[in-house]
Amino acid sequence: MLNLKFDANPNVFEKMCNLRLLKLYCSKAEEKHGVSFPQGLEYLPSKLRLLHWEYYPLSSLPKSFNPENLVELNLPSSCAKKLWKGKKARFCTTNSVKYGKL
Amino acid sequence: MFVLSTLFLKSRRSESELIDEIVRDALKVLCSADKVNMIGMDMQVEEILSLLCIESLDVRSIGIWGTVGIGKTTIAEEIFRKISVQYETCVVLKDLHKEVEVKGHDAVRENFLSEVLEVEPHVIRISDIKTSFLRSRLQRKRILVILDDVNDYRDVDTFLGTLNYFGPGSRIIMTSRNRRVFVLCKIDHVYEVKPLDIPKSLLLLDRGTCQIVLSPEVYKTLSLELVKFSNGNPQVLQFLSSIDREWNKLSQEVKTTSPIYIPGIFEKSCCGLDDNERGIFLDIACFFNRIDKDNVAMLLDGCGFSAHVGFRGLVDKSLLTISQHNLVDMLSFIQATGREIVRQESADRPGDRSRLWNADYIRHVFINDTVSHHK
Repeated sequence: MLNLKFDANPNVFEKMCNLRLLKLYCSKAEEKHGVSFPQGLEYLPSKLRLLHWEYYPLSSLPKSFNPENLVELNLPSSCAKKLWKGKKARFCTTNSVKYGKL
Repeated sequence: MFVLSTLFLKSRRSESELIDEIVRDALKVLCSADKVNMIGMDMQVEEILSLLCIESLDVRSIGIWGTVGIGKTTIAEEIFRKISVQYETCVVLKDLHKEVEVKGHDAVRENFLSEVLEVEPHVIRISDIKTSFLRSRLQRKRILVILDDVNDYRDVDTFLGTLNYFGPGSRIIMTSRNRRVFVLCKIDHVYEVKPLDIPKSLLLLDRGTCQIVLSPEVYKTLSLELVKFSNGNPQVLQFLSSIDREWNKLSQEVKTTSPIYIPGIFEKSCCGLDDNERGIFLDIACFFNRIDKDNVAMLLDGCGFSAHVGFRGLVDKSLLTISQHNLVDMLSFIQATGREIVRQESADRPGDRSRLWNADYIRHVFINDTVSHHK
């Protein structure tokens, strides 16, 4: 994705429950912070395999997000301080996840 | 007949001289190959002819392999034109995969046997032909067989055994996009058709194009871009040269690998892929072209595909290569075709498509919330 500059609704991914690959990237530095979530982000699909999001604008991933299928997580230059609150034990033990830059 | 007799009356030459002349003229007409199609093919035809070793008395088979539109059929036809006169029996089955799809395996087998044995198809249908009979009839014959566009081993499985009975000096030429077919059919040599080089590509692109509004410099830049997109594929070049659109716009589409409908290429590219290969093909076309193979494999495996099996299938079917740097590499026009397949899933509603890569469409879907629940 490129050249995205708009405010998105916190439930924008709700209907995309089968989404497997999500990549938001900026081809130019001035395009960072393209998508804003002024009201936060409520939901990310649990079937996601790839989550690559440059300049992720929020301090953590949605509380409801279940990363059990995740294969690659890449949040370069993000505002995230921690991925999620609490433990996501299953995620840590069963998947071999490739962590990118956080 | 009238023309001939007048000729004969007017000339004072002997009948045999006249016949010679007529034969020469007729051959000239028959042999005038379509020169447009033959641009850049001569060398390859010669190479295949030398692999065929026409003089040698063994039975040889050659597979002509290459991506869709690269000119396999044109080359096979040219070879046929050059050598068919030396064979007692010549059989050409064109577009075999489609024939099998339309008419069925039995009809294609009957057709093949009737041509090889030189009898009517209904004779084949009503008689139970014994192997011993086939062998005795065929082993004395010097036969040339061209099986064009064998996409699947099963297309020829029903009569493949017959080829073993052919007499000394017989030749079998098979064209396919699927290299695996040649292995399964035990073809002796596989020849990969090469793309046209840049000068020949430009020559083909130049034909019939009317881009008079462009300055020579711009024309040169744009035509080089289009040639790069075509990767020297004659069918793509012919499409680009005949397309009724401004090159400026076209080259923009080409640069961003926008979906492009290329007649003939579109219909054939996905033909014969299983679900695993098809899904991987479309994912690479939309997202993963020129990305590290192992990274892509990890994601695809995670999505429930069998990545490495799929890669192998796509490489065999000449839709994909693995580059020296271990990247999955798809030719631009094939990538644009894959994207067109996804675009056509729902031309009007991007939210209904299986894959989105274009920022404008994604913004549209995000803002208007038009995604379908099942996608």
